[in-house]
Amino acid sequence: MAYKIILVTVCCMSLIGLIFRLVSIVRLGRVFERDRTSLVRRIFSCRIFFLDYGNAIVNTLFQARLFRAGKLRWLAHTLMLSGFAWLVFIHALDDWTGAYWDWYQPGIAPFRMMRNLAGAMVLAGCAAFLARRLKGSRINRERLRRGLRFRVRGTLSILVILGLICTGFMTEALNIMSEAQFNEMVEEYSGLAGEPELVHLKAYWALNYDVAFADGIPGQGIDLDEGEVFNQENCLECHTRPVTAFVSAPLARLGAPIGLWTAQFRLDRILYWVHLSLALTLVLFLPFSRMFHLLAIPLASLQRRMTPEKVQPDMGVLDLAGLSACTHCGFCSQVCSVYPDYQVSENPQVLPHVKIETLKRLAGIGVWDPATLIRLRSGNDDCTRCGLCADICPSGIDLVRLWTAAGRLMDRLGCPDNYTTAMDASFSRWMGKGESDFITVPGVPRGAAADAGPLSGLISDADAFEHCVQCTLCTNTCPVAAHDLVENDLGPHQVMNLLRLGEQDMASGSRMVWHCLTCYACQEICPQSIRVADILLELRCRGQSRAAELNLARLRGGDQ
Amino acid sequence: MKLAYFPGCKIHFHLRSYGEAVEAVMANLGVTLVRLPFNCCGNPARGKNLVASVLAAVRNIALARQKGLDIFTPCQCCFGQLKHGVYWYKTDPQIREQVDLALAEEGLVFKETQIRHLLDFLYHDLGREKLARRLKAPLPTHKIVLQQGCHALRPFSVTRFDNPFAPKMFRELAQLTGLEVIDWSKETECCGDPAAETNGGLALRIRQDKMAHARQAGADYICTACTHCQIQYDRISHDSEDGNKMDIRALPFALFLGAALGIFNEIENKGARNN
Repeated sequence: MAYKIILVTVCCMSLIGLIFRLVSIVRLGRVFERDRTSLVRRIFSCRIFFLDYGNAIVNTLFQARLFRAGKLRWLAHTLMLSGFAWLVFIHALDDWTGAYWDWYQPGIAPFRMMRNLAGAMVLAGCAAFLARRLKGSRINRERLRRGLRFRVRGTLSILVILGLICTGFMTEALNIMSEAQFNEMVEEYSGLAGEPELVHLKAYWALNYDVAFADGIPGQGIDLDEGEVFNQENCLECHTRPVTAFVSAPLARLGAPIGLWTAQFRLDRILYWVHLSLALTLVLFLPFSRMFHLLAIPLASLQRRMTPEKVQPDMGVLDLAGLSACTHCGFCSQVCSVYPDYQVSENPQVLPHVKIETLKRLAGIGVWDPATLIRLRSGNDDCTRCGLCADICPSGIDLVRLWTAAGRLMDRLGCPDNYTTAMDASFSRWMGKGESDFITVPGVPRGAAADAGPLSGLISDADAFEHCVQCTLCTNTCPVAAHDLVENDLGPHQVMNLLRLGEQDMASGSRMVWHCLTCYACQEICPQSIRVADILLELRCRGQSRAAELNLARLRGGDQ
Repeated sequence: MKLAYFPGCKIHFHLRSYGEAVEAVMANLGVTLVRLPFNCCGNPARGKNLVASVLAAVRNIALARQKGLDIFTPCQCCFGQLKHGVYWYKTDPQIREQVDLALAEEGLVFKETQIRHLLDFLYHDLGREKLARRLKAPLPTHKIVLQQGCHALRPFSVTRFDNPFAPKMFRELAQLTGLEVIDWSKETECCGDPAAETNGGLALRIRQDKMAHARQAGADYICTACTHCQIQYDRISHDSEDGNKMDIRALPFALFLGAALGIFNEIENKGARNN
């Protein structure tokens, strides 16, 4: 009874936590979209009939996407999930589910064996998970660099499950050998308590059921046949021989001496409570631990995935259900198309699984560190939207939608892309002098937010541009100059002239540099063989650092 | 014949039908396309981080070379960038050093391998005569204009693709399939796609201008050989008042070729999405 009350209470608390978590997810989404519809309407406005139920079921029950991504990990998950499902429904909830089999008894052979099998499966799964954590991979390197916090959080749930299963096996082993429990059962279910015939049953159980009696097996005047008769009359209905418990029974036999010693302070009861409280801990923290992905993945898999046609209209919607379904498995970063960008820039925010972590935090508490936001902006703008990450994601998160939405989100948080910053910055701001000199913001030295790696060196090599004769052939062939009469400022030949005047900074802020389509028409036609387009691109590389700097300064200095 | 297939970033999510057409054509021509764990060609990083763009390109090449394969790509931006990566790698010792270090992390070593675009594969490697013999169904005489891809064409000193001022490969191949190639003034001009993300207005104006010229020249279709050009012409014209009036469809060359080879019955329905 006490068990039932505690269980129901914990489940209720977990449910409240779950509702809290889900509502906060929906509410966060609303804040980001500046959506004024009420929360209730929002929850019910998702078009229930258009959700992708098939995908959700296949991806939850059979983990189809994980199977495609990694066979070993799928095996570990399936072992764990199916083992756990059996344990939860047949073992933990047997007060309720037992009613469906009128012959259900936890102590008879089929259930004993299945329980041990399920436990062993979960144990194997846990071992696989832990082994993978210890093994290094391309992505794990980044994970290790990010410190202990990240590793512990992910491992904690596994350790709790490991403890749960181990205490389960140990409890069963202690139950098998417990003399005290034997006596209690005799008292309750047989008329043999206190009778002299009890010794026969005792001897029978000591030999066949591995009970460890303190005074050993009585030697003289024992009739085992009579013990067997008593056993059949009183015990067999609920207790078959424990050999089918293929983990616990050997454990009981091995641990018999320890069992005798621990029987005096009833370790079996203590372990039972440890086992129970570990299970309840898992339930209680389900909405707030790594285990939440059990619920978030079906939720995320319900959504129809973004198609190229819907990239525009869907842009602003931050998929928070998807965000919370991320398990940091790192498959996305392993296939990421722009991984070389990370290798060179060492900006971890290029990697999808790191971006998700940052976005989650950004969604939760807003801008907590401008420098991280700048890096996220840079990393997210490097993304080519190739969709490989979304394809492999075992959780089925619609990552292309997420990256598109992330750009919008950062726009709203006051961190536009470098192009916009370069376009919006006044001349004096770009050059770092004059009335609103952002360079004087404390803590922002020049180059602090550097984006670009080493440059090709064309713009600092006078030989590369000084023999420009200002013939304007480049400008005449330039499609930007032809089609962007209002927005654009200089022609390529004028940019070359700025370089000749030594005004690299000024040139890197010119609209021509940022509008350039990189079609190389200017370079091909230049009669002086100046590499005009390559120079424009290098100027843009240089400008990227400057724009990121301005962004950082603005974020640090508050809204101006 | 085996080639390492480099579809680029756009086919997988944005342009599935383009990729399907290319793969069908290549299978028909008896070429096995091998998929390797390639990354982005590096083109988008060219205006942000030169070393990253070179590393991206060179890593792909090293990967293909490790398998002893030449690279085949249906995208002219990828083609140009792969060539560009090699150019910078060879020219700049500082960049080379950094790239080699990054490659070594994966146990890769740079060695050159051939980079082929769909067009120069057909023109040089397969040969026009061989291709002509394989053609089955003569196409109805569609009038088309060609969109040459900038990054393959220029700078010639790096890409060595075709005459940058009067390209002939695309034209001859298109004529081979029975299409009527019309002259237009915009053949070698940029499609405008690189500006689409940042300067949408410019991209739209270029697209409208090119479509108007194509119509004026009397073309039924614009024919592309680059994923970025195709995407640019496919772009939804929701922010243009007269966009729909001027719209003229662009279709990938692989689709016309597939029809001429007898793989596809209809061009239109197999074509890339239209708005």
